Amino acid sequence: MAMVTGGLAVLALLLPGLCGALWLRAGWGHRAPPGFWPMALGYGYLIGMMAATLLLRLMDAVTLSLNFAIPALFLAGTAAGSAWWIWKTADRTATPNPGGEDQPSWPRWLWAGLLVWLAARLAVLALETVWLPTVFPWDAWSTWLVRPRVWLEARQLLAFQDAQAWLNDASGRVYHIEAWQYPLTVSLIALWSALAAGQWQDSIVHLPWWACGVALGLGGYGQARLWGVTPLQAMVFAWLLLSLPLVNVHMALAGYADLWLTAAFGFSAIAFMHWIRWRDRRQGILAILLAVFCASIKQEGMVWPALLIPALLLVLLPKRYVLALAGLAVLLFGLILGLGGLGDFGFADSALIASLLQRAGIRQFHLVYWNNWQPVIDSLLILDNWHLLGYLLLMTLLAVVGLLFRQTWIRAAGQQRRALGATTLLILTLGAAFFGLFFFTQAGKWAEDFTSINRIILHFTPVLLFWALTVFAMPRASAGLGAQSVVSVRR
Amino acid sequence: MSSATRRVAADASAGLSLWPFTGAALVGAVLTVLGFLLYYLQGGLSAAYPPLLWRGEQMVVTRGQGQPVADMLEIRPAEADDGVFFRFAKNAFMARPYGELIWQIEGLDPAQDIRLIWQMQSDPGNVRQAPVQRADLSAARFDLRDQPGWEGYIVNIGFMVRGAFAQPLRVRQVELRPRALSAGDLLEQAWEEWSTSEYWSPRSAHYISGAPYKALFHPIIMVVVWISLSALLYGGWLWLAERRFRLAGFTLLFLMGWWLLDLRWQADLIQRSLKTYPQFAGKSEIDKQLAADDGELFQFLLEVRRYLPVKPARIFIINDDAVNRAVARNYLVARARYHLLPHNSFADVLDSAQFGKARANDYILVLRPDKGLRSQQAKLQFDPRQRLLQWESNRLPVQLLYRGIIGALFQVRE
Repeated sequence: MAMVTGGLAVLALLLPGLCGALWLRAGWGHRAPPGFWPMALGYGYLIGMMAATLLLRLMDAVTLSLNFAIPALFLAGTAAGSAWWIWKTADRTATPNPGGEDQPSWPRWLWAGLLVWLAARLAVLALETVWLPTVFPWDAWSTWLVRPRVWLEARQLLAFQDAQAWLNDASGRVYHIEAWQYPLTVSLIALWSALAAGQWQDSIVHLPWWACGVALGLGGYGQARLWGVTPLQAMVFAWLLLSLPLVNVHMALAGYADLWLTAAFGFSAIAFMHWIRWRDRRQGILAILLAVFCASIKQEGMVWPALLIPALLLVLLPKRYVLALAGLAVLLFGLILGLGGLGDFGFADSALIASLLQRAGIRQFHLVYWNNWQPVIDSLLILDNWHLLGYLLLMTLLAVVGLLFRQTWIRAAGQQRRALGATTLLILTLGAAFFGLFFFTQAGKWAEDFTSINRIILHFTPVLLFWALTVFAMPRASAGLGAQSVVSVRR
Repeated sequence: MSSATRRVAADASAGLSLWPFTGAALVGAVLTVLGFLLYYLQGGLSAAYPPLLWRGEQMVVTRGQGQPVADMLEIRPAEADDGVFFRFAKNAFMARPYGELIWQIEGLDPAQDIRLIWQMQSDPGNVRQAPVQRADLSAARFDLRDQPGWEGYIVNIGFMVRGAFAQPLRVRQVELRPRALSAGDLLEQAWEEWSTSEYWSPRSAHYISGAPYKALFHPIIMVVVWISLSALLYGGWLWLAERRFRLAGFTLLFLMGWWLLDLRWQADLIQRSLKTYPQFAGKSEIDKQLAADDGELFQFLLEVRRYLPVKPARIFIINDDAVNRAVARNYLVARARYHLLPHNSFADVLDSAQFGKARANDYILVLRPDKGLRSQQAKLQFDPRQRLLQWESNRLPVQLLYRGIIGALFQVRE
C-alpha cells in the first residue's frame, strides 16, 4: 500500500513536468537548440502544474468529485499526443557539431563539480522536505495548507469566507481563515499531491515545493544556454540561483506561496528578457503565460507582471513617445504629491486620489515615508539571505553604466545596446517598486521586522541574477533568433 | 603538447595569471584576518560589544507575580513556599565577549537558593545554571568567565530565587559587562561564529542571519573585505607587471567568495539535518507531530478528537490565556485549528459577541496554555452545576465533554 501511495506521489510530481516539457517541445519547432530541454523541464513543470490546478477547478465547476485519476489521464493523454507530434515533425538530419576538440577540459570538470555540489545541496533539502512536519512555516499551517486538507476530505472546493459569513452560516460548509481571500492555486498544488496519495501526508504534500526549486534551477540553466552563454557559465548561473539561502529555505520549509511566485515571475521576466533581446515570439508567449500564472498565486503576483510594462514600452515605442511617457509619469507623481498623496510630507490625504484608487479596484492606502534603509542594507548586504547577491547587483549596475556609455558600444549595432537598456529598465522598475513598497506604504513596517522584505526580494532574485549574467557573460554569435545581428564587442 | 604548455594555454584562455592570482588571494586572506584581529584588540571590541543593561521594567517574570513599582520591578512568589524566576534579556547575545554580571536588586537573602539560569541556542534543552555564592551576593556581581556552558549564543538568561521571602524582590537593573579578549579568544570566537547553526524556526522563512546577532567576524563582511583586498592586490600586480586587465581573475575571486559562503551554508544545512533526523525521520505523521515543539498541544487534541464526530464539526477555538495571546499572537489557536482539520474551526474568537454566536451542537474548545496558573484572569467561566459557559454577558448552555491539562472541550446544548 505504501509502495502504491509513494508511486502515485512520484507520478503527481513527474507528470506535470513531463507533460509541460512535451507541450513546449511540440510548440517550439523542428530543432531543440542547446539548453532547450532543461528549459522545457523547468518551465514545463510550472506550466504543467498550472494546468493540473486548472483541471481541478474545472472539475469542481462541473460538480465532479475531485480526484487524481481524471486530470492525470487528461495530462498523460495530451503528453502522449505531444510526443507523437514531436516524433512526426522531428528534423532527423544530423546536427553539425561545432568542433570542441581544441577546448580545454577544465570547464567540463568545473561544470561537473558544480553539478555534484548542486546535487548534494538538493539531496539535503529533499531530506528536510520529507522529514519535517508542517511546523515551522507559519503561513503554511495558517493559510495555504489549511484549505487543501478540507478539500481533500470534502472532495470539492468548499468556500472559505470572512468571519461574519462563518459565524452566520447554518450549513456548516463555510470555512474561515484569516487570509480567506488569498488566491487558490498554491493550495490546489498541495491538493494535487494529496489527491494522488489518497490521504494527507506532510512529506508527500511538501514535495512539490522541492520540485519547484529544482525546476527553477533547470529553467534558469536552460534559459542561460538559450541566451547563448557557455555550459559552464549557465551552470554557474544555476548554482548561484540555487545556492541562495532563502531559496533553499523555501524548498525545505514547504508551504509558503513565495517560491511558486519566485519561479513563475522569474521565468516570466527571463522569457521577457529573451523576447527583448532576440524577439523570439515563443519566449514572448511564455512570458505572458507565466505572468498570468503569477496573478493566480499571490496578491503581489497581480502587480509584478505590470512591472514589465515600462521595458515593453521602451522596446515597442519610438524614442520620442518614450520620453513623453517618462515626462508624463514625472508629472503625475508631482501631481500626486501636490494633491497631498504623501501624508507625512505635510499634505493631507487626498479624497480625490483615494476615490480614484478605489474605483480602480485598489484599496485606499496612506502614503507615509518609512526610513527603512537599515533593514534593506541588513537584508541585502549584511545578513546571509542572499550570499553576495546585493554586492553583485551594485557591481552589475556600475558595469551597465560603463557599457552603455562606452564608445565601442555606442558605435555597435543598436539592438544589443537597446536590449541592455530595456532589460536594465526592467530591473530599475523592480527596484522602484521595491523602494515604493517598503519606503512609502504601510508595508514598510514588515521591512523593519524582516517579515516580508526578503520574501519580496526572493520573487525578484531569478531575474536579477539573469540580468547580471547577461551583462557579464555576452552571448556567443550562434545564440538566439537574432544571431545574425549580434555584434560582439568582446575582443 | 606538454602539460606545462597546456596549462599555459588554459590559463591564457581564462585570462588569468595563476600564481599572482593565488598569491593575491592568500595574502588577502591573511590581511583580512589580521585586520579584524587588530581592530578588535585595539579597542574595536568595546564598540561592537557595549555593556548590556536591562532595567527592571524590561524584564519578564515567568514564575511568581511581578509589578512595576517606581522605577523597579517588584516580584513576589505566587505561593508562600514557591520561588520566582525572572528573565532579563529579550534578544539573544553572544556569551564570550561578556564576563561579569552586576545587579541592583533589593531583597536578596543569603539564606535563599539563588541561581543564574541560562540557555544556549545550540543546546536549548540543556538549561545551564550556576549558584550565586554569599561572596557574590555581598559584592552584587558574578564572574562568568570560567563558568562551564557560558559559550555560544545565549537565548535566555535570568535569576531563579527559592526559599523564604521576608520581603519581595525589587529589581532596579542588571548589567552584563564585556571582558578583554586575547587574539586566541578572538580566533575561537571567529570559529564559533562561522560554525554556528541556527535550527529552523518560524523566522526562517523570513530571513537567515548567517551568523549570531552582532557577530564580530560576520561571514558576509569578512568575505567582502577579503575579495576587495585580494582584488586590489591582484589588480596592483597586473598594473605593475603591465599586464592587461581581464575580468576573469576578478570574477573568479568573487565566485570563490560566494562559494566560501555557500560552503558555510551547506555546513549549516547539514547541522540542521543532523538535528531533524533523530527528531522526525522515519516517524509516522502522528509521531512527527508529537515530536514537534507543540507536541503537548497535539497530544491534548488527539484526546479531544475522541469526543468529536467523524464528520467535520463546527468548533469555536478560544485561547483563554491573555498573556499567551499577547505574546504569541494567535499561534496556539491557529495550530489547534490545523491539528483538528478537516473539522471546521473558527480560530479568531476575539470577543464575547462572537462567542455568543455559537449554536446548539457547535463545539467550544477552550485552551489554557498557562495550565490554570492565571485562571483568575480567565474570561470564560464554567458553572458546572448549571452547566453554563459564560463570557461577559453571553451565557451558553453547554455540556463538558473533556477536560485536559491545557484546556477543555464543550458542546453547546439545545
